[in-house]
Amino acid sequence: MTENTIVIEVQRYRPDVDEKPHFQSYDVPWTPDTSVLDALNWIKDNLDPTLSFRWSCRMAICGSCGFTLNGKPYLGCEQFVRDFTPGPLRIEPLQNMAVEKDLVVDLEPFLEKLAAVKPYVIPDGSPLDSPSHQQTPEQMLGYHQYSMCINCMLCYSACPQVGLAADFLGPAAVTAAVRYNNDSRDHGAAQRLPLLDSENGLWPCTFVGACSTACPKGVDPAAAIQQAKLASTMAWAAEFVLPQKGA
Amino acid sequence: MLTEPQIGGGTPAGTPDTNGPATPPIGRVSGLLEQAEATLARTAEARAQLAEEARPRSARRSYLAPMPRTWWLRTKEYRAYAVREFSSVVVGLWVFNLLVGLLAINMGPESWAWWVQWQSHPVGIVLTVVALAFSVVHATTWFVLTPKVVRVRRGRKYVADSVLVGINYLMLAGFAALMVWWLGGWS
Repeated sequence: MTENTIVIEVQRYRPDVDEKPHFQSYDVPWTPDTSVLDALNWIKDNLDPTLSFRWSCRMAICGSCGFTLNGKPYLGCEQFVRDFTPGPLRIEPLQNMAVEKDLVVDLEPFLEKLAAVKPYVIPDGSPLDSPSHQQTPEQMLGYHQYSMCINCMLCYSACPQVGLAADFLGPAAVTAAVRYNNDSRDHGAAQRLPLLDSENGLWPCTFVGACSTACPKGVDPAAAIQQAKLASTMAWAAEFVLPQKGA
Repeated sequence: MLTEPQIGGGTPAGTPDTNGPATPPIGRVSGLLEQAEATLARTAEARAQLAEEARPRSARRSYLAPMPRTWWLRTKEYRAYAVREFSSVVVGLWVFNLLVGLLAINMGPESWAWWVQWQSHPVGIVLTVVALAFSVVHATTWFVLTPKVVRVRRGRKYVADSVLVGINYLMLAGFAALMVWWLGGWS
């Protein structure tokens, strides 16, 4: 098979040398089964070993290889070079995040936000064989879609509100909170509510909806956030009707 | 020629020479000991330098790209969002116009006549036409988003998005018909 080539422009940034990022072009051969991640690895193996990027599983489940491809967030392993022909294909790091080197971004702010929503089942303390730990398929339906998140941060890259308000909890973290709030085995909704309902909780969301378009796993974070807004509003209204539940 | 330093063999440097000056320590004669000591010193120096160079100091200087003012023009999705948000401004202007009309009624026949006349002014007509267009944009875009907020589960399935959106349109049609009937449109 004759090999085609494509020009790939990669954003480079070396913190010890460069004042700010710049683009570097590479001619990369491709076949119909070449993923964007394959192309980056080809560059690293054959042209430029100094190129830095994160990757691991190559099959859209580890969530490591999120990049901005021609201005939109994608997983590098899930996109084929053939879909960006004739090129050039412009590869940038995820947007709205601090770039550490080349295509590597700082994960720390996201990980802090994720941990802050207590993304785990908070049980009611009953013994493990009690019915409160059992779940019907109907109950599972209430959160199953939101449990598909792989923390790839494409939604943070897609969301303009994350860029405008850096402290915004963000799509994936709010979705994680909703995922556990909707879980019949969980009793932590009251613990998660104060953070969700805070100024930088879920309210900076203006429902652009780009997070759901970007999500590679069909999680639909925009839906989760709007449902959390509804739940938060109901809890607020309930305080007027049920004063003993208020602060 | 470099020979192996004799460790344990010969006479260690610094020990008193029992055999007299005829047999000085081997290292002192050949200069090997000095060489070795100098090498060791240089090695220690080089090692210290390497350690200094490899000292974990942070070269971290992360770069955060600034958000351009025109971010809302960046993608098709952002542009659609901007139109949806802007539509409420236009609808708001028209509602303000309506409020002025209510005030005019309250103020008397002359004010009311002025307001009615203002509605047929080209600017008033443009405002009404544009407001109608944008209120259609506003309503339809929010109708499309309804299924994201309201999810209705029936058994082990959720009601399809299209059904929920359709209900919105039915409700709009019903309400519009009610208004037309109430205002005597069918009499």
